[in-house]
Amino acid sequence: MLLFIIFCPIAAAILIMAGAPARKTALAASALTLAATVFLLISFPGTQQRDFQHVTSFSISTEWHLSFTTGVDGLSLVMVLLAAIVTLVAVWFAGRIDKYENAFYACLLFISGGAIGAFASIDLFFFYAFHELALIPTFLLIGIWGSGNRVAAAWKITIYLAMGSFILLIGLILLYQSLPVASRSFDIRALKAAASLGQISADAQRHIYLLLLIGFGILISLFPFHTWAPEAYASAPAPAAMLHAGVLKKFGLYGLLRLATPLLPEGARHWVGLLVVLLLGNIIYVGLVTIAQKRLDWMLGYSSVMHMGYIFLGIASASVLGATGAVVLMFAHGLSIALLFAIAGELRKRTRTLVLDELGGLGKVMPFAGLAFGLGAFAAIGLPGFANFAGEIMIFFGAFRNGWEMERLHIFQIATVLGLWGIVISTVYMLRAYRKTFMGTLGKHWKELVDLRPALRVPVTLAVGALLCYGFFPQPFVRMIAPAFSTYLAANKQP
Amino acid sequence: MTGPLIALAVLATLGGFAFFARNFLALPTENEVGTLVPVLAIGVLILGSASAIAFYRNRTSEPFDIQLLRHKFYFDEFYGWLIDWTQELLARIAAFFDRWIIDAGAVGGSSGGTWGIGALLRFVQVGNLQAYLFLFGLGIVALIYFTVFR
Repeated sequence: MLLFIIFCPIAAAILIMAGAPARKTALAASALTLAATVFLLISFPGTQQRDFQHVTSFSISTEWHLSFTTGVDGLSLVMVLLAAIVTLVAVWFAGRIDKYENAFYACLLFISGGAIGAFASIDLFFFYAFHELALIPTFLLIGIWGSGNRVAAAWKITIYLAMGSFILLIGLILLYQSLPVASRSFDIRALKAAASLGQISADAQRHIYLLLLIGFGILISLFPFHTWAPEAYASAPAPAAMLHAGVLKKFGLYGLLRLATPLLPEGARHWVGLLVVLLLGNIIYVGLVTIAQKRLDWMLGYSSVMHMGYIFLGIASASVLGATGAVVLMFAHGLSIALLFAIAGELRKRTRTLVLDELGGLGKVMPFAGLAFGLGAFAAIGLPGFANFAGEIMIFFGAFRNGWEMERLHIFQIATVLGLWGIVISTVYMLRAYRKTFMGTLGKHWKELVDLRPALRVPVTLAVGALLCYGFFPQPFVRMIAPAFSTYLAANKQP
Repeated sequence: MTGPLIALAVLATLGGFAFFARNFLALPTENEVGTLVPVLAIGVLILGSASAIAFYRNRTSEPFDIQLLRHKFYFDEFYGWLIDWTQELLARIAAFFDRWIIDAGAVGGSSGGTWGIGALLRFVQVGNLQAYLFLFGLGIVALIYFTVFR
């Protein structure tokens, strides 16, 4: 079943490249992937399950201990579910493409398959390789089908993320090399076992953790490596922005949770102060930059960067509550930002501008778009009832009573208070953008605009429904995710 | 629209009474019941309500033409000024820093530097064999100097 979920989008992409009808094939493949993921979710055994389930392994090289191994635990299953939902929503919103339609849909499905493959890989090599598979189509989507200054934006994201991937690769190679020869393996479970036996020296942990933090940090747009994100999302076609901001950017956060923190606890301890300073850069500094934006697409791009700060706070807290909240927020943010980019994309198709001062009153002619954007904005702000609220509240409580020794790390309490200021900041820019776009007087030239076509109510309902479902009932998620952290976060407390 | 307001008003009125609140909350037990604060609060409530009825009943305009009251103690103006000179100012400074220092300066600078070095190195690739031999010889001389004489 898991292999089907990984390879269904990839096989569909190959079929589309071979000439199959692009939109129909992409929609069918993404709907099948989501259906299979929901089935996997329902059949996921037990709520206290710490081990990987549905494990499949094919040996590639016995000499290098390299194998194609896939499996899911609560953490990766939530990420796979996120990828499956956002893929269907993105493909649904993509509509008719004027040039190279087959290549466009194939790129979307390659991103989806790559992201799902990375989340489901237990082998370090394929974890990295699947991410690269997803990354390259993103560059193409921006460079070929983007708008505005698309070529410059495509180059910028390519150079930035290639640099991040390169630093990450060095970190992963050093991680492999840091183990005794007998223990060397690409299997994450074997690496975790070796790390728990103390086979990675404290010095090596400190160096490797920094490389992984910078490598993953660039991919996530951690301050100050964030300037690629707003420009890329503003230039990207809406489905590409939805998939990258909603799903692919979560790869870096997933990597920190899956590899860096559990395998390198001493490194995490050593660099936690730096991480807190940088994540506050995301929350406060980038939040303020977001307020000053004059275009809706740039505002959404910066807001996406800003919200990464909260997820970093949950990860840095080294508490089961904080890390679980981080995963819930990863899921919730993925859906809400995808919804917001989808509506912004529909607005751009109709108005040819996303300058906030040129819009206004659009709620009168596009009431459903206004409703959908409003719900997405409320979710992004973290209003109670949406999954974002559940994630953020867990992060704040987890960070305030963090897993480190309190006498040395009061910085977390300061960070939590400043994080709460970030909620005010995000409320300011989201509500201001909503007011300037959908409220007020309708301009004469916007009177003929038409609302979203009825078929688009399905993906909007899917995204909002998932946000509300896990907002009101986050407990199933929490019970599924928390066991993935309970072992190694306890190990973090060891001197 | 008045229905929900009436429902909320009834709940708000009853919410403070122990017989009602006890159904939803575990109320702390008081050793000593204070009377001054509740009496003062209810007194102010009655005084305020009575004054409002006396001044505003059957009127369509403001009973007093006082600038301070008309501007609601200038609270909105003060709030607007405060936000403009704190959060909005910080936002503009941060946006300037992000655009010109981080993006154009640090990122654009390293990108431009790389392009510049590439452009300079292009001039070394002159395609002249003698020039390459000369540079090669110069390298050997430098190598001998640094390994033997230094």
